[in-house]
Amino acid sequence: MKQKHFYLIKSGELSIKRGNRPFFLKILKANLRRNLSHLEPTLSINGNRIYLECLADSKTEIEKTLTRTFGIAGFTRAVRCEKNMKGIEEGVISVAQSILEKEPGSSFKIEARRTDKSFSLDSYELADTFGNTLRQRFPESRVDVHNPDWILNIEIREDVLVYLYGGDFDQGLITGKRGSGGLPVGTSGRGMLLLSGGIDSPVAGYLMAKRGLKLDAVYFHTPPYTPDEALDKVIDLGKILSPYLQGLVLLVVPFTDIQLKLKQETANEKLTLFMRAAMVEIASRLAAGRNAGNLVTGESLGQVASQTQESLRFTGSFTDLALFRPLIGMDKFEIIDIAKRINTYETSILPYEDCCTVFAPSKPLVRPRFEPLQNDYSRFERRELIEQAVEKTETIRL
Amino acid sequence: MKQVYLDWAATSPPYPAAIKKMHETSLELYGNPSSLHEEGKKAREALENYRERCAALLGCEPKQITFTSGASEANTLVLTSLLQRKRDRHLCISSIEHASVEYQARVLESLRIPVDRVPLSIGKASNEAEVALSSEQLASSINRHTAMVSIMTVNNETGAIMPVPMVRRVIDEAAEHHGKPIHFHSDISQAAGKIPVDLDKLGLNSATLSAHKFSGPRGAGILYSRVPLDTIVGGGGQENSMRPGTENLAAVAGMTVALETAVEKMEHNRQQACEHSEILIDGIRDIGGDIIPADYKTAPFENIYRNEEISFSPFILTAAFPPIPGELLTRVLDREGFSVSTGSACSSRGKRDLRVLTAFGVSAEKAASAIRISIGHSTGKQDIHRFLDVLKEQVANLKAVSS
Repeated sequence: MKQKHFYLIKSGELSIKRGNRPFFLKILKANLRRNLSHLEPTLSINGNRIYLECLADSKTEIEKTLTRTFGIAGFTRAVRCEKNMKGIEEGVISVAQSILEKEPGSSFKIEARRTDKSFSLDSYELADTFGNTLRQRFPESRVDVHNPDWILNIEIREDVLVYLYGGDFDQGLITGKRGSGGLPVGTSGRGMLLLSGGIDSPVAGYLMAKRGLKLDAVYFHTPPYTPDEALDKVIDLGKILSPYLQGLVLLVVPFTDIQLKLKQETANEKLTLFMRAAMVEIASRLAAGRNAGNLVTGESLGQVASQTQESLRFTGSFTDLALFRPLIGMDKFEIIDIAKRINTYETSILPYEDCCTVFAPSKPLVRPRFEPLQNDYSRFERRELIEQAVEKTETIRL
Repeated sequence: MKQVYLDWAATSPPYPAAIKKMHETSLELYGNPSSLHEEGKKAREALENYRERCAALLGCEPKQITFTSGASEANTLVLTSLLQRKRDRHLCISSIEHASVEYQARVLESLRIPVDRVPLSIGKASNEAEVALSSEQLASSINRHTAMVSIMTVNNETGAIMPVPMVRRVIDEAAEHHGKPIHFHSDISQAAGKIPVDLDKLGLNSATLSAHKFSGPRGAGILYSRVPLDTIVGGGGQENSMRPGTENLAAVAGMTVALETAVEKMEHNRQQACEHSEILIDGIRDIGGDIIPADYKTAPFENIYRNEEISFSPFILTAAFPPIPGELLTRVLDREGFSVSTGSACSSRGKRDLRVLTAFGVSAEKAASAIRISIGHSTGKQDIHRFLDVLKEQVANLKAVSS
């Protein structure tokens, strides 16, 4: 059965951006409204907090969404009660009981705030009164105002809220849940993620979304040299990423013709670099069409031949957009750790290759010389093919 | 145009008569064959009738037939029966066994049961590699602890027909030498209904098959065992206590009808397959493809099982067009309307398992470019010619890209 749930959400880093705070909070609120739209949410901003009320069968579905929405430092469930002593007492007892069941004998303190000054008790009296209530009701618990295990908050506003909240989420207090942190998606503008079926690029997308980018993704499909399963895999990855990215538009570029022409006209050792250059060119074109100001790739320095500094300089020279490589300084195992955490890993390691071995040079260039290679690539007649690829690009909404 | 199906070794289109029989049986004989009431008795009677008919077709006694869900399950039952032995549990298998045997062998190894894999001997006669199973090598893999030898009758990737009578002879000599019996098991899935199989004459102690390989239904198979096996499953006591579970009577009915049809038409189907196979081999060699193994040749009907030498089933052919990846060629042919595969269906969706093809002496590179073309009773000559035309065209295209 659907029940009303009340949450108090603490925004993350954005609270320090004083001047911009309303802008960030407004976007966070809009993101939450979209992510929770099936739960009829009511959202209001108060300081650097957002209050959420919604209808749900269980708290799990709400909390899953909250932990995936960037811009949230932490959140906690709250109980809303009637604005009289009896109502508050009931709220205080039920909240305290919920934690004492899990942590019997733990210590607490009460923090009370009163924005409604017409209420009969002031904040000190509120803390004192309901502290006594709890001590009588739960004799095994202790008050500890300096080092409490948990803090019970009472807020008297136009309504009354009672909730557990740790204040500082890094201190390991036993109340409240941590959010993903970061900035609300959309506060940093738009970007274009080059998404393959591998482990790295989904992680790159996740990390840049965390910094507030609203991403679209582009995938280069080369049938029949890669199987349809490879595209399905990318779609699956997009679906896994989508809740973090506030939805995802996947652009599927038919790349076979360009790949074939390159294969015919290019020395084998340069093939990978030239394919990547063409991908960067196409991604930039698509980015412009969607008002994206940057490209995001999963490249990591030295991981493969096309990711040495010389290779990256070459492929990076084919866009005038900002080029973000959030994994550039990461080890593979660090990337894998994140991939496992965000659940893309198991899909990424499915065996469908995103580049057929036919197009994989056995001895690729590792340290290309910049100018000669650029000259070489500039002789590759590609304008029309790129035009066609852009034109035939398919859009999938995930 | 209708897709041409050339993947009969993976599974085969069913005989309509078999499906019709299953449908009728499902509706009419729904009783549990173990029940004592009228419906149960009728079902039991039918089940035993099918058992008799299958036994007659395979050359054995009805009581030696156990109905299973297929060969993979049956192979598992046979191999894991070694776990019931306290000592002398050594297992000897060929290096080209189906995944269901190879996998169980690995499980047994992990449980400290010693396993030996007899390699094929790859000789060089003139320019062609001669593939054989050497009796000497087989004999040296058997020791006084050997309890079981498992060698398939027809290999599912290359169509190689193993010299079963020779294996029996070597096992008998070893058994006599060590003064104890050795169990000979063979997976006959790609042989049943396609080449003559007389279980009693072949001297197998156990054999396994799946109905869907000879146009019968999925989920039906036979475990033949000369004497009851001490399997590791129990429960309902069905099927001579070797395979518990309520018998799938409809599937057994479909299987019996399919096996009868296949055996009846065997000579004709095989003649036809030989013709088609020759056309395929010539056509493939014409466009520069390699048959795997290079000395592939089909055997005369009356002399299928050789001594050491390996002959081939005309229903299965593996060819390679290096450096084109087999996966890619399979995909391109599919788009052109021809269903072939890269090997056993079980392994071709993930990374390719090249274990079997490399055992036939080909390089990993060539094995990775292999495709399997397998034909059946309803494959037409026109289909073969059209296939070869398209193959020629596509191989030329892909070679231009791949080189």
